[in-house]
Amino acid sequence: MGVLLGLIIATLQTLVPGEQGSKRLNTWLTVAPLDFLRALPIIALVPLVQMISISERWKVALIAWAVMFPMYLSMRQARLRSLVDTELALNAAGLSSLDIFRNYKLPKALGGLLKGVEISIGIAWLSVVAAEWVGTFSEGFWAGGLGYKITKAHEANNWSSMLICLALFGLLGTSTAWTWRILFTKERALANGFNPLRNDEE
Amino acid sequence: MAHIGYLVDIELATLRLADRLLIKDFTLQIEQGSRIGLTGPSGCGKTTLLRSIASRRPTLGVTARNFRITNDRIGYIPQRSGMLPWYSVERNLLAFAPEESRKSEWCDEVLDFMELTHVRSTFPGQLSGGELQRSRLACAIATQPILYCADEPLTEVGLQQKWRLLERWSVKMNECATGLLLVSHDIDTLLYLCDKVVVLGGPEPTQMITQVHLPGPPHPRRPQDLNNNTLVAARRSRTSVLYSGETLEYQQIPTQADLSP
Repeated sequence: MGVLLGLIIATLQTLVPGEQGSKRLNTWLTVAPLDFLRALPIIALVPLVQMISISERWKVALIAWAVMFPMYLSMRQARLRSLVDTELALNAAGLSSLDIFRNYKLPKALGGLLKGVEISIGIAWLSVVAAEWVGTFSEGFWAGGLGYKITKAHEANNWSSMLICLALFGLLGTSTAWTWRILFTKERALANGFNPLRNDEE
Repeated sequence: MAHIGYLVDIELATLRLADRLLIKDFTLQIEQGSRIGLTGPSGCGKTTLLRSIASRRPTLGVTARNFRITNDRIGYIPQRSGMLPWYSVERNLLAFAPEESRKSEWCDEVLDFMELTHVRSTFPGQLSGGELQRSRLACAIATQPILYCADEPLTEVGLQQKWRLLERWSVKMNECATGLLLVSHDIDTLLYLCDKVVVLGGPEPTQMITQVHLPGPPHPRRPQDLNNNTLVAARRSRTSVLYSGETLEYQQIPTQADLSP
């Protein structure tokens, strides 16, 4: 959920036009505020969220917030990177801007998207733990998430519970990362007609 | 939209690269169908000049008094890269082709022309150096340009194949009356393809520059001319003359009789 939200927000953000260094106004309007927000550590935001609400919705929002920035950064990087000679050759060939977008800009950005999601999956698990420091409404054995249980295990000095939670996190992280990788292997991407995971340097 | 007059008509005031003044007061005109070679020592601004022309505007470091380039399609063949790494060779060709000829027949023709049928569905990153250079040239040919801007084309291709392809390319340029601006260190290629060779960076780095007029069209020059001892001899003397800064005009290829004692 957090990954999805982050993805949507980051994608929308990359649609904000003109943030190259040459356009000062846009740099100040979009890049500088985003850099400011990005610099706020997710852990530092936990007390703030705690003061607002401890509902699950706000925890999801916190995770989405954390995931948003790696997505945004890798998309932005992919967009601003340019294969100089390829771009020059396409322009020289007199192709329409639609063709250049379809054949060059879009596949270039898709590479950033895949990389962004891969990083975001890792960040998401980190922020789950942070978000669950907020606390939970429910009580009992099934109450709260893994992050909440780790905090509880710490309070109760419960070693076995702590280690099980960590192992579960490891398994969850590995399985999500692998799922993503299996879904978007080289072969799969090739079958779809492009290969965003390919190294651009020849 | 054929352009009347010159394909390239530029007059540069200066060309700088990282604060070094490389070229001063330089004019270049290319008519439709004419072929100009550009050579000189490494780092004398050849590629920068070529890039400026291919992008149709003075790039960073170039100041021009006059900079008019055709609006028609230009086939730019960069020294490295220059293809879409996420597409196969075939899809690259289709992406570069003008809209009306984006068909597999045209693609087959170009692949066959450049002897690339075996790597049709291979990605640029998986090609060998020579195959990659041929694919780049193929992309430019698929564009059906009015002018080729080529930076060291086919330098890594095996000799026999290289001359076969250059001959074929030369014939094609004749048929379509395509202009050529060729940057190369390879004197043989320049001699074979060009009507005129411009040498940048003579003894005085900021000055032009020698111009060597070669025996003009018809193209392609006959392969036996190149294998002929006299031309090889002429080439040797020309190579040294090229870099010594003299201006030469060759009206005709010297015959065996001219050279024998």
